[in-house]
Amino acid sequence: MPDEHGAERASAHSDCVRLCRLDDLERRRIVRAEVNGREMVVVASPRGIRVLRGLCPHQGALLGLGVLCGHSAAGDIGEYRYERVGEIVRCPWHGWEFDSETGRSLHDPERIRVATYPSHTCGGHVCLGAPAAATGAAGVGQPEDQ
Amino acid sequence: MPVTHDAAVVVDCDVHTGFQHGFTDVVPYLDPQWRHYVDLGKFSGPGRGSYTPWQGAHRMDSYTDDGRVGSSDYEHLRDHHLDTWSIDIAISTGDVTALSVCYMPQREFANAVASALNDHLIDTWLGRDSRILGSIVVAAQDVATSVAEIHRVGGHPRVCQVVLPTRSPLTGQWGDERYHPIWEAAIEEGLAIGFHTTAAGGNTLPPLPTGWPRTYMELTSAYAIPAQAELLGLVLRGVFEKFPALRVVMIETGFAWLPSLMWRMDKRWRELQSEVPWLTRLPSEYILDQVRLTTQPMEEPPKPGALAQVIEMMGSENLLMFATDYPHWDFDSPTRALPSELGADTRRRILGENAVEFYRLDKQVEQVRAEQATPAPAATADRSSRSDVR
Repeated sequence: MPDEHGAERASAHSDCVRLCRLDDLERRRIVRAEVNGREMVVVASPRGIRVLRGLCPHQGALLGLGVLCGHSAAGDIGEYRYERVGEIVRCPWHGWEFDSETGRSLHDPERIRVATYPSHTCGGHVCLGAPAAATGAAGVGQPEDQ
Repeated sequence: MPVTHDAAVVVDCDVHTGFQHGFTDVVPYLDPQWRHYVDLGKFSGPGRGSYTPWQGAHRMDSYTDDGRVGSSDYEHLRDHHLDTWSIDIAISTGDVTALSVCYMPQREFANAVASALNDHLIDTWLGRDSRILGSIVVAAQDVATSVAEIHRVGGHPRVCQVVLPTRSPLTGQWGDERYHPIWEAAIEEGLAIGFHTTAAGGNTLPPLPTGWPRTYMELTSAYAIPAQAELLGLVLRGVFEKFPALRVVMIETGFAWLPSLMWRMDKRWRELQSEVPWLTRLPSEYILDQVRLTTQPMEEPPKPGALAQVIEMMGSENLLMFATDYPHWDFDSPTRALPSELGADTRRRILGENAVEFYRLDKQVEQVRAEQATPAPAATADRSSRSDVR
C-alpha cells in the first residue's frame, strides 16, 4: 500500500509496487493488475502507459478484460469519425467507455468515472506511483478521483 | 471465490447454451435428407441477422482460452457462470438463433432443425448438472408438427419451457386461434411458454411495426414494442381466458412498461368490453396470474428508487424474475443489477422465489440442495464447497 513510504519504495526498484510486466503490456495493450486486493487496469495508450481503477462503476465488470479502442464521434448526422484510437477503455460487459487520460466516462464524464494513478517503469515492469525523481508517489490510497 | 447472496435461492431465467463448433454440432441430429441439404447448401443455422452490437454479441470476458464463445461447453458455463455467481437454477433458452426456426419459410426443414436443436440440447446440456433446465424450440408456423414435437421431447424431466420468439411468425400473431393447440400441448406437458426477444424476424419480418431499425441500438431499445403488441393479443383475444393453466414468460423484453399497458387495457375493457365479451375478468388480472417478465436488460432509471414504484404500480411483487442473459454482452450481474432501493424482500423474490413458484422448481431446488450438502466426489467439488459459504 503506497503511503508515506511510497517515494522511497519507488526509488528502490526491488520495493516497487509492480502492476504488470512491460512486455506483457506491450503485447496485449490492456492488462489486469491487482494491488492489495484492489483491481486495476493498465493500458498502453499512444500517449503512454496509464493506470486506472479496474472495476466498472456500472455493474463491477473487470475493465482489464475489456478492450483498448477508439471512440466514434460525429460532426453531422450519418457521419462516423473514429478517433482517439487506443485511448479509450471499453468495458467487457455493456461497453461503457472511459478516457484513459482522465478516467472519466465518455457518456457522463462529470458523474461517472474511475480513479487514475501515476505509474513508472522499472526492471521491465510497470509500477505504481510517479517516478522517484518526481514529487512523490501517489498510490492506491490517494486516487485523483473516485 | 463464489459470491454469496442474501436470497435463499437464485434462479437465472435466461442463460444461453450454445455449440462448440456452431451449427455443425447440430447436423448429426438431422435426418440424412437434411444433412445433405445443410452440407450442400452451406446452411449455417437459422436467424443469422445483420444486427450486431459494437463489441459483438458476447461478453468480451466470456470467451474460453482457446477463443470459443462463453456457453460453448458445459465446463466453461459451470466454472465461469454457475459456480462464480452461485446460481442455483439456470434456465437455458438455448442459442438465441434457434428461435428463428419460427421464421424459416421452408417449414419441413424448420421442423427438422427444431427437432435437431432439441435433441442436441438434451444430449449436450441437460443431465450434466442438476442446476441446468432447458427450453425446447418448435417451428410454430407448423402448428401440428409443433404439437407433436412438444409431446416428443417436452416430457424430459429437465425441460421446463417452450421458447418462442417474441415477434410472431408470418402465419399470424401469437394471440390467434391457430396456435391454441401449441398452448394446450405445453400445458399438458407441464411447460411454460417463454417469449424471448429476437434480433429480427430472421430477415423475413421487420422486428418493429414501423419497419427495420437502422442500428442495433435502435432495435434493442425497442424490444418492448413487439412484446406489448403480442401480449395485448394474447390477453384480449382470449388465450388466457381459454387456457387458465397457461404460464407465459416475457424474456428480455423490459418490464417498466407493464403498468401502463395494464392500466390502458383495463380502462378500455371498462369502456369497450362488448368487443371482447369472452373476457370474464379485468385484462390485468390475467397478466397478474399467468404472465411473468424477466429483468435483464435491467431498467436503469436515473433514481433507482423509481423501480420500487414501478413494482408497486404493477400491483404485485411476484411478476419479475431475475435473468443474466449469460454470456451475452449485456449480461446483468446477480449482485449488482437489482438496486438496494428495491428492499431485501423484493430482491429475494426477484432473484429466485418468483421463478421457483412460477416454473414450479421446488423439486429441482431440493435436488440441488441435497447435492450441495452431500460430500462431493471430485467432479462436483466446487459445488460442495459452495454450500459451505452460504
